[in-house]
Amino acid sequence: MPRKAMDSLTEAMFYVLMSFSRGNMSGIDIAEDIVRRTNGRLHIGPATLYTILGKFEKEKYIQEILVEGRKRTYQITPKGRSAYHDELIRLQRCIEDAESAKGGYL
Amino acid sequence: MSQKKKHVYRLCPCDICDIESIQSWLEDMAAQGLFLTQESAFCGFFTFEKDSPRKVLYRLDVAQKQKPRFFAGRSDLTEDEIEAYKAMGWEYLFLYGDFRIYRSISPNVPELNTENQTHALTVGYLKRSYRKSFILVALLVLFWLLHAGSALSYAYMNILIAGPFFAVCVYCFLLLATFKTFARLRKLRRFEKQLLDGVGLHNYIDWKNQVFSSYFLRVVPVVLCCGLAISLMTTWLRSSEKIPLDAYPEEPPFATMADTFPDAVSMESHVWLDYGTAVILENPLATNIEWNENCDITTADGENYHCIFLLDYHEVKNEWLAKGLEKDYYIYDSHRFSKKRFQDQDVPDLGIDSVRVYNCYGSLYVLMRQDNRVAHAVVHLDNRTDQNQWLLWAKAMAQMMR
Repeated sequence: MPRKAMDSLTEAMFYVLMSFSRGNMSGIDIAEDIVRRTNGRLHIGPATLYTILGKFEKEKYIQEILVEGRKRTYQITPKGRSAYHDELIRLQRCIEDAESAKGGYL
Repeated sequence: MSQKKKHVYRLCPCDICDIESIQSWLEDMAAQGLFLTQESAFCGFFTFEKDSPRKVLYRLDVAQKQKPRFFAGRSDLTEDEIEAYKAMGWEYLFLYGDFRIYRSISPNVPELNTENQTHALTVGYLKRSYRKSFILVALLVLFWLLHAGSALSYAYMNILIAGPFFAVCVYCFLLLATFKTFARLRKLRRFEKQLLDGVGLHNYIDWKNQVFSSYFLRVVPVVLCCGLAISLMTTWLRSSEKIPLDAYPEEPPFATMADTFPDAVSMESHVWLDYGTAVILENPLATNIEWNENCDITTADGENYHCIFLLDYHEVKNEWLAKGLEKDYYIYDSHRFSKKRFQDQDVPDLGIDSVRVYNCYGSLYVLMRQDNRVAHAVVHLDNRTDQNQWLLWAKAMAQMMR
């Protein structure tokens, strides 16, 4: 595990970015999307979710585009999309490496 | 019809950075039937509502925005966030210090923080903010120590006149602030390490172990604040007890204007603001007398003078302190005025330990010390050229001090 946070995207961060594949999202939409997408395997606590959203906003991975009453809607930025794809490639390589290691002592 | 529940106030027995202990304490309070309300908290006092005991979960989370230190607030989170927390089973109560407090009545609710690394991010923000505070406080202490050790701090003057209690309180206060900030910084570093190591924070711990240190660290600053306030108040109150010179209870232990003009035909003293009065300030290290004369003098040869004579007389506990005070007075006077205007005078031997005479802006300053007694006098005469009169006072004063 990295000793310093944000060296790479964490699982929750990755899923938060992934949830934007459905379009613009609010905080509660993201939480629901992740539970649905992972069939209940991953629940994101509200503090974790809003810390990630705050961090992403600061890093310009997402931006707030709409405030409707109490609901705030965010949109992923090209920088956020690029961070998501970089992480996806890294994870795919991990899987490929793991696949090639099959048949040994594992 | 809903019945208004009884409110109970309790002082939080744990330090605000002790996240695990506060959570545990709040859960124990709920188990006793005391439930935290949203209208908390003031100076560490939390407001509880009495009801039948039940299990309630409490969590503290780092607030990265506003930090009201003493008052609770609800303006930190947006309405959208509050709604989202509620939808996920957590009710936002209030913001206290650097933390938001939440509660949940559902035992199976997903945790507020479900990922240690993300949690470590917020603890890290707070840790960095405390590190900055610690560096600032430590620099302040260092500056204060260096300053107190330097001649320009007038430490003797401040301690001997305002009293040692005041100086001790200021010093302890600064040390305590440094220690408290350091202790919080260490605690946050431990939490961050726990989170990055994947251990996470404990949801329940025995908070009673923390009570003594927490109360101690809270009570001491309050006591020091009271000490500072009392010492300032007493100094202020006592310095406002001005005695008119003609009502001064006994013969002063120093020479006055009357000793300077022994041949005066008339000497009329006027009371105006601090003039024409004396103030006696005593503390364990020194007895200080401020003597302010403002008089019109007519001498036997028909000369008229208007004279302002201000004297600070100190009987200090020991000679070493008196030497320091004398040095402080000289440095204070020589730095207060432009060098061009400050002129040391040659002084004849008056037979006492130390005498200095200097002119500043037409006023004459005399500083004398004999053993543990220090006298600092300023005289302003209408007839500025006639300073021989002043030598008379110095001689009379030296005779008294011998």
